[in-house]
Amino acid sequence: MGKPKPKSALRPRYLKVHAFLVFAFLFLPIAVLVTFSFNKARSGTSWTGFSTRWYRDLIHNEEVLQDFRNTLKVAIAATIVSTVIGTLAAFALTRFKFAGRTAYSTLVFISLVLPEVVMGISLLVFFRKIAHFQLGLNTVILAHISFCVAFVIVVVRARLTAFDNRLVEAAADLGATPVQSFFRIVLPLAWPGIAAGAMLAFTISLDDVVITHFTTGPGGTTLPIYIFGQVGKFGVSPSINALSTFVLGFSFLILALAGFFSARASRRGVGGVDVTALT
Amino acid sequence: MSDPDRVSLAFIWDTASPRFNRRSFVKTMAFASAAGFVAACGGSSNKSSGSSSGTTSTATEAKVLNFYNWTDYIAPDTIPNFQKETGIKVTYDNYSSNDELFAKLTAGATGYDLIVPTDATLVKMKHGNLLQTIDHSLIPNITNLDDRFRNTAFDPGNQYSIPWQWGTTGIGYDKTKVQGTVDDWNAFKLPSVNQKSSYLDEARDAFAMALFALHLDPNTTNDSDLDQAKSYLIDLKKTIKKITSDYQDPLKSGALILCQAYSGDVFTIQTDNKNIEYVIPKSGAFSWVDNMAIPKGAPHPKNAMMFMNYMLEPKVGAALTNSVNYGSPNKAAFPYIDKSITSNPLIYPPAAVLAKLPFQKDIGEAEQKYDDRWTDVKAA
Amino acid sequence: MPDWVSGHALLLPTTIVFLFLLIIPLLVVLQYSVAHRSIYKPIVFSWSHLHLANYTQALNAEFLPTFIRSIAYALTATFLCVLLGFPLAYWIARFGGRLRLFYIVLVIIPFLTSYLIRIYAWQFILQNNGLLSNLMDHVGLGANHDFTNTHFAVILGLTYGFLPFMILPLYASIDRMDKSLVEASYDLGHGKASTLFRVTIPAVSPGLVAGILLVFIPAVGDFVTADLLGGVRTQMFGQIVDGQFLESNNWPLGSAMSILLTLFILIGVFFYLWRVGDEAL
Repeated sequence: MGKPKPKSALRPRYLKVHAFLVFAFLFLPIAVLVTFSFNKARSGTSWTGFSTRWYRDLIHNEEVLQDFRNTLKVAIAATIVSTVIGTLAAFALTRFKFAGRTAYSTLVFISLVLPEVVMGISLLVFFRKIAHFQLGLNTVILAHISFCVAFVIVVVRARLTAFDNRLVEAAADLGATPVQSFFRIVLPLAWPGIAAGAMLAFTISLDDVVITHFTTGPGGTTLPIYIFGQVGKFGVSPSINALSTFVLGFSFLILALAGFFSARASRRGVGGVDVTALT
Repeated sequence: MSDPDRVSLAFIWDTASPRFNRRSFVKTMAFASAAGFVAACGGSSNKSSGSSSGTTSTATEAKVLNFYNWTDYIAPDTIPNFQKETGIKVTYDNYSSNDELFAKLTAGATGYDLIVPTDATLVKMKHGNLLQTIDHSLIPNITNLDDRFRNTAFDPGNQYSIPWQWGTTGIGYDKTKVQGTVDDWNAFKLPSVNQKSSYLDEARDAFAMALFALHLDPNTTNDSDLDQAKSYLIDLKKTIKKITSDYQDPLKSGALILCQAYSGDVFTIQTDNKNIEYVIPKSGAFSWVDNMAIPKGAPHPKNAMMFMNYMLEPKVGAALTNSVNYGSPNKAAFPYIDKSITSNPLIYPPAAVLAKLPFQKDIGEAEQKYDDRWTDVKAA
Repeated sequence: MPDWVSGHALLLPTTIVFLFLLIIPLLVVLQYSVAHRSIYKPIVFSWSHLHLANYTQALNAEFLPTFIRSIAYALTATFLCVLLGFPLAYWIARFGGRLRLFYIVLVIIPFLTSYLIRIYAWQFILQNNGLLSNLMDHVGLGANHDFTNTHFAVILGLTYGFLPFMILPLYASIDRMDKSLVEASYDLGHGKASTLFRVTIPAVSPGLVAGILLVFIPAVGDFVTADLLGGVRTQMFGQIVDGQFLESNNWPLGSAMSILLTLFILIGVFFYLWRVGDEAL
């Protein structure tokens, strides 16, 4: 996984400028919401002065914090499950030739295209009238797994398609079982694809409103549902902006820590693996 | 059941339903065998709902109430005080539209004990067999209700529901930005509101606006009246900006300056933006009532009725109205409601105006005429 | 162990998920799509009276402009995502060095805040007297621009919302590309453009295909973006489908529309995969 140092001639300036502009585009609305989280008035449209009152409000808003905890529970559970099973499926789909592969791809695409309201209502019919589950966070997690797994499969498959199947075949010739070759060869090579798939799964789970609305039950309100109800009537509440800012700050902290530790690890060459290359 | 073939899907799935019979079972084998398998899985994972098919005769109920209400439609101390008084733990969740609530309830019982649908939706739920009747002996405070709400067309004798709050569907506008008089529905045609107005994303409400403007019956089921109203709405689409029920924030911020709106929403906006006015159009408007009701299969119906009774206490009802700015159906609460609310003719209209504020009528299957034309309006 | 055994064993967990959480719900939708509706029960189903009229109604020409608009929006947004996402993913994978992790997480971070909040922030930027309008006023381009309720606003919203779905698979794919191929191409005298088209793009095509699918397919069915940034002139097909369930109470028509939409997209996707010679087939 060594990285050849790119020649400086291959570092075109315009790519860097482009990257900067795309990041600016991605963070423009974020800058707006961070700014308004410090606004004095409740208004999300005009600046009336600096204040941290919305952060103090947030700490005492047990409802929002509970919804946020629910959202995290669902997103983490759905991401872990869908990433694991999606990765296995993507490996099977790239590695083995068998009848029904096209049918499988079809299912993946259907899961991507089906309008959310259709998915939500039909899952609710399944949960209540067929399976007789009680609605709650568990049913929400199941529903989220069902739409996250397609994203994971597509991303991981793209990564696996690009790698050399001969490695796996060679391992098999040397007597490696599929399980061994999966853990020793496929997993390390597929890692960036798996991480990318997991990140996408996490963000879509974090955001889902419609399917969650239909599949949740008493006490299972998630943050997007709360926000959806709020914004219609009152616009974005500054407390929500404050919470979003807090989440952003927290993510940056994790990112900085991860950067710090991976830099240290790679300096020491821990485990012979360049951790930064695992991205 | 006269024709076993015409079984709604709901009853095919629901094996507890008396309408479930062998014949429909065989005919849906493909579904049902899968269903049985999954039901088995579900049972083993200890998640079976125990289908507490909600008869009020249940001896004791857990001290829990699952309350599903509109977003920000309650006084801050309503639930804490109820919990203190009764020891019942309230789980409070929110929804943001009647349609979402209706669709969710239709697709499957949800575990909620208390919901607050608007009158028209309440009628649909009643006919759709989604609600259970309430026991007046557990709600002695029912005598506190205003007479106007004791025998409504949508729920005669309060068999299924206790009113929560009521209001009107009129026009909210920014008086500093709209040039011209806004006193009737034709304000949408003022040049100064071109591309800056919106009407509601609710079929019956939008059609009512057109029908009132055309001086036709707002509850009509006559095809040619409805076609006229449809053309009116499609024509209006050229000059409005949006068909939306989320007009509150844009109206406050100036992105929209004239909106078909619910009364209490506009009064809430006024606390932030003094330039916003509400008007009940001269040619008439709908009144509506949001009502507490108990879904079929609710696990704790008695607690729900206890809550209904609690809401009918004078001071509790007054606190709600003081907090949300809609009209209270609770006559006994009147003395405790802020004077600024009771003296506001837009919240408590005089009798002459009240006469022009009909409720939506239950028009039965004719509702489909509205629904189909509404799809046309949206797609046009 | 023969291939198909290992293959199916690895597929088993996903197969269970798909069977119960996709195929069975899909059968429910299929059944709904041939049912009758009534006002009080959105679904009245009978095996002896399958109501195929829902499909003819869904194919009604009045929905065609909305449908075409949705496809056009989704295609434009996908194109813009490639335009914005490809160079960025390429830059991060090839030139990000030790900071690659940092950059890729930086792409995702804006998406950890609620989508609704971000779209409302865009509304604030684009609306009348919004940030953009005021900015244009300052540089002398006139005041009081309103960019909401335009094709531009909806496409921008879609592009913004789906950009990471393009960048991440592309990144994962470019990161695997054999860098020596690029250098060999330069050594053989190929220019930058020629190398890009002959070496880089073919090598990253799995990621590109994945990105295109992940942006285009969900974008066609999207309804929230057009709802919040658009208006009466930017109706998308997803909103019409949504309306059948949540406003018009015509679940059978909504189901028929969803199935036709799904079929149409599947045909398009498979045609595309066949053209690019993707292995998914």
